[in-house]
Amino acid sequence: MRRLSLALVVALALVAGCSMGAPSAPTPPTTPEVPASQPLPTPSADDVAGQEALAAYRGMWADFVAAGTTSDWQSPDLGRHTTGVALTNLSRGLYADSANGLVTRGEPVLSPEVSSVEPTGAPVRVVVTDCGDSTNSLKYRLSDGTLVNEGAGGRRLINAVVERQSDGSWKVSDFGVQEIGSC
Amino acid sequence: MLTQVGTPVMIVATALGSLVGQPSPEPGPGGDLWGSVSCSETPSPACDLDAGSGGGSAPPPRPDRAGPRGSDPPNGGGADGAAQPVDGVRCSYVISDYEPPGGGLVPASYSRLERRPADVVVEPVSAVVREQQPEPGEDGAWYLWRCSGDGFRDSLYRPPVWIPDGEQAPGAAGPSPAELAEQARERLRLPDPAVGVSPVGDQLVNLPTWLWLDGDWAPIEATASVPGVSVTARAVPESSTWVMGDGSEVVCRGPGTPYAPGADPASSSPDCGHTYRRSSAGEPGEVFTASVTVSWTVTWSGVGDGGTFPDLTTTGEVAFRVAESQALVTGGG
Repeated sequence: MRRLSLALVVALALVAGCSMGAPSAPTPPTTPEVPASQPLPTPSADDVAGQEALAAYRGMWADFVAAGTTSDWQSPDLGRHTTGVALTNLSRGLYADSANGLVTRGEPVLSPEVSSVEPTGAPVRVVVTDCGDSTNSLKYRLSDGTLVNEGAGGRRLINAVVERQSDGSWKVSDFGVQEIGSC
Repeated sequence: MLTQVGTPVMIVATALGSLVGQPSPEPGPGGDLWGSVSCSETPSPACDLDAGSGGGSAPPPRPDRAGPRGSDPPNGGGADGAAQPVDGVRCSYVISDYEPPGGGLVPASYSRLERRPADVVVEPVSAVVREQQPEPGEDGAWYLWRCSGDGFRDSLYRPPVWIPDGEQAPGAAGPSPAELAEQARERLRLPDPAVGVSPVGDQLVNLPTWLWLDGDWAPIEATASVPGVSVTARAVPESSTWVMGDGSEVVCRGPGTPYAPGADPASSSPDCGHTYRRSSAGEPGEVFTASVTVSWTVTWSGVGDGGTFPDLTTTGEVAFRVAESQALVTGGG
C-alpha cells in the first residue's frame, strides 16, 4: 500500500511537470509510458458534450432497434435518449410498422461523429452526423416472417440534433435520415 | 348489363392489428430499420441540415422523390407547404388511435373515433403538408395514410399525420361521400326493359294479353371510389307501369309473369296483364303505341353513411296490333 501510494505520487508529479498551467483538477493517473512530449488530453466541456451526444445518439438507435423487434410504438424506452420531435417521429414510424404488421430485426452499423458543438465552451446543442448502415437491420412481415423487400438496407446519411436537457442529460431532439445511398 | 363492382372493403382503425401489408413489389416506406422514420416519411428540420452548406441554398431534389411514387407524399413537400399533389396521385387517410408519447396530451382519440361517422377522409392534402404535429389544444386526429396513382399503390401505410378537425373540407379536399355517391349513381347501368308479350304477334280483342319483362328483376349496383373510400349506389326495381295506347294504364308490382306454353290462352296473367276491348285499326300505323316504364328506387351507402336519391326510371316502347276477335281461328274457346 505504501509503495503504491508513493508510485502514484511520483506519477502525478511527472504528469504535473509535463502539463504546466493545467487546471488544478486532478487528472486521472496514467501509465508512465505516456510519452512525455505529448500534452495530456484534458476533456473540455465541448469534448464532454460531444461524448454525451454520441452516447445519446447511439442510445436512441439502440432503443429504436429494441422497440422495433415488436414495433412497440408505446415503448417507454424510446424517451430515454430522445425528446420532442425525435421521440414523436420514432413512435410514429413504429406505429406505421405496427399497423402494417411489420417488425425489425438485426442491428445497424453506426459510425457517428460530432460535426458541431454550440456554443463552444458551454455547449447546449451538438449536431451528430452519421453514415448508418442498415444492411443487416431489416423489416419483416409478422405474418409469415418474410422480408418486406430484399436488399432494402444500405447506407443512409443521418444528422441528429442532440440538446442538453434541463436536468443535465443529453437527448436527441431531432433527426433526419436521408435516403439509402446518401453516404 | 352492368358489370357489378366488388363490394368495397373498408379499413377501419380498430382493425389495425390485422392490417398486414398486401403483397406489392415495392412498399412505400422502405424495408430497412429507418424505412419508416426517414425524411420522406417523417420530415423534420433536421432533414435540412446539410453538412457544409449554411442553409439558404435550395436543397437538391432528392433522388427518391423522382417518379410517380416519390412524387410526393403530401407531407414530404417544401417548407412552406407549397408542395402540390401530383396529377393522378391520390392519397387516402384512415383515422388511427395513435397518440404521441410523452405526457401532456389528453388521450381523447377514442372519443373522437366514436363521434366521427366516417373512418376515412380523402385528400386533405393541404393540411398534411402544413402540419404533422398538433398545435396545443387543437382538435383533430391522427391519420394513417397511403397513396396510389398511375402504376403504383402504396402497399404500406405511412406514419400517422395530424389533421385538425375541419381541414378535410369537401371540394378542396376531394370528393365527399355524397359526391362520390353521385358519381356512383351516374355509373348505374340500368337495363332497358325487355318486353315479353303473349300472345306473340297480334293481340286479340277480349283475349287477355300477358305482359312481362324478360331479364333479371334484380337490384343493380355501381361503385365509385378513390383510394380508401368507396361508395356504392344501389337501384332496386319496384314497379313497371304499362301505358297500353288505348287509354289504359297498368301498374305491376313486379316484372310480370311469362306466359307458359300450354296454359289456357283465355286465362289472364296473375299479376300483369291487360285485355284490349277494341282493335287498333284506325290508329297511327294500325297499332297501339305502348310503353313500359320501370321505376327504380336508388340508395347509396359507404363510409358509414348513406342516403336516398330520387327514383330512376327506364322505359321501353312496344307496339300492339290488336285485331278483332273473329280473327281467332285457332285454339279452343
